[in-house]
Amino acid sequence: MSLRVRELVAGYRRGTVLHGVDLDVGPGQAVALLGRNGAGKSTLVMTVMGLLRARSGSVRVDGHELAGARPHRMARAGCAVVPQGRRLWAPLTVGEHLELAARQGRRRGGSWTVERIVEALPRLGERRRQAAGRLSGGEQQMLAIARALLTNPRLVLLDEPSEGLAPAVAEQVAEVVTSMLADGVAVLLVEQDLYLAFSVADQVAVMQRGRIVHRASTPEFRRDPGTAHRLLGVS
Amino acid sequence: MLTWLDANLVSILNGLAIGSLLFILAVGLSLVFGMMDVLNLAHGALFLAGAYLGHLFVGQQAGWASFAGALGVAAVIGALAGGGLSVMTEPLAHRSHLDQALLTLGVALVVAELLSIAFGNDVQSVAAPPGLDGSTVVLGSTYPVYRLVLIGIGALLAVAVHVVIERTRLGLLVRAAVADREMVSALGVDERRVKAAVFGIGSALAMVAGVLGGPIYGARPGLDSTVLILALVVVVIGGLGSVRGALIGALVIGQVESLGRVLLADLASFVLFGALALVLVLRPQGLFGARAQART
Ligand SMILES: Nc1ncnc2c1ncn2[C@@H]1O[C@H](COP(=O)(O)OP(=O)(O)OP(=O)(O)O)[C@@H](O)[C@H]1O
Ligand SMILES: [Mg+2]
Repeated sequence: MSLRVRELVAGYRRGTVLHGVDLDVGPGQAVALLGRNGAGKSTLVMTVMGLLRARSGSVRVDGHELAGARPHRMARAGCAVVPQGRRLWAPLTVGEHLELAARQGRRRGGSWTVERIVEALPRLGERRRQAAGRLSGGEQQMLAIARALLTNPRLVLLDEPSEGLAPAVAEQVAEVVTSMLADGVAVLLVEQDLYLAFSVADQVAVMQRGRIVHRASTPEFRRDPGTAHRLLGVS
Repeated sequence: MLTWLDANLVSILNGLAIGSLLFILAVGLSLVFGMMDVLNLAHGALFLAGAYLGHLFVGQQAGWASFAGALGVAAVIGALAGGGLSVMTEPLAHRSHLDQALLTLGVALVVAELLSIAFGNDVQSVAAPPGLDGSTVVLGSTYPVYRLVLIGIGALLAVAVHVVIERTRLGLLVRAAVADREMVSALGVDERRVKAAVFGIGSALAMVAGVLGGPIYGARPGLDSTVLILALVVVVIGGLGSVRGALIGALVIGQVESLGRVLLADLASFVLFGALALVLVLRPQGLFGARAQART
């Protein structure tokens, strides 16, 4: 599935955050979206998913114009989101999260089932009866990803999945994302951890003050530390 | 202790009956607010409409058929009215709580005014169904049968709502939406439909509560705001979006309204809000607040 964003403008009551974003994610592609704190990465993710209203511009999924569509239509078009902060339903159990997501996924059809998820992420199977709010950070992140995958999406928007996780756990997250890609799912990955981003993505896009200011393939970007330093303040 | 119980048994039973009614009323209010952030101030007007509906159907000489008919029609009209309110508040979904509350307040005022034009300002009574209109002896005190039945209906409905919320597919959806409704819609669920369904069920329960309350409170102008305030206090005390909270809150407020007024007769008018203030100071999210945190 392909995502094509053009001239996207969006923001909050206090002001505009996205000032005309152009971004493409091709079928089966993984694009890393980088940028400093407050650049507007999460705002872009939420706007693409329809959780924040686009003021103007275009969001096309497989050529269909969906800017301003409500989130359930984006989901039915094949998009899923793993939001920053995970946003699980804290009082609900792991099993209930999986069931609710799988119910939507079954309608659309596809290869992800609760059984397959539990096989891939056995920790979730062990904790089926536990409330999501009582899981460890890593388990919560896995559950958030599982919830998205069970809807059988063709494009997953992942917003800082490694945030607050120990390096070994972030590694596991990267593995799950890689297996998603192997399945042919396209990924837009917002990430502060550059090594994780590089290990997963084919393309890098850098956001600054609500615009995409740089695009490169991952190898190109890695060969050019000056640009990374200038845009991200890292070496 | 036993003599105390003896002396206050009637008050305690009255408190249970009030609590039953309040639970039926408050559970819808709590779920709609907890889930969709819509404070439905028309909830009291729906209760009053139900009471007048009972009066129309049942009047002075009640029959089982007319009472059951009133309950059925109240449920249907209530569900439709709830669906209507759900649609009406939709364009304001991205505005503040206050804007939506003002809209439902407007609806409440219009409905109350229409009812008073249609039925006048006198108290209209509603008779209990035959066989339930007498009294019986409970542990040595005489007590109206109808109120005992009401306590039973409240208990049954509490169990039914609990089962629906905890054990069914719709209930799972509702609990998830109370926790974070945007994430429910991001799965592919049309949240307007869920909202309309919950609004409809909640409003149907409010009108049914009005019919059920008829034989005790009758139907009169002003009853709508009285019960609305009680229901709001129940929701605040119990916590938004929590069925268990609505139940406990309703039972507490039932006793506060009945036993509290008897035991603390001098402070009668302060007891309700005293209880409210106490809970707000000690547990601002309510006793069973189901929401992790306020949404922005
Ligand atoms: N709910 C909100 N209401 C108002 N302003 C917001 C809201 N969320 C974010 N903003 C503002 O929008 C701007 C962009 O925020 P955004 O969360 O999109 O950045 P980000 O690139 O995701 O940053 P981070 O790396 O910290 O997650 C910031 O200035 C932020 O203060
Ligand atoms: Mg962010």
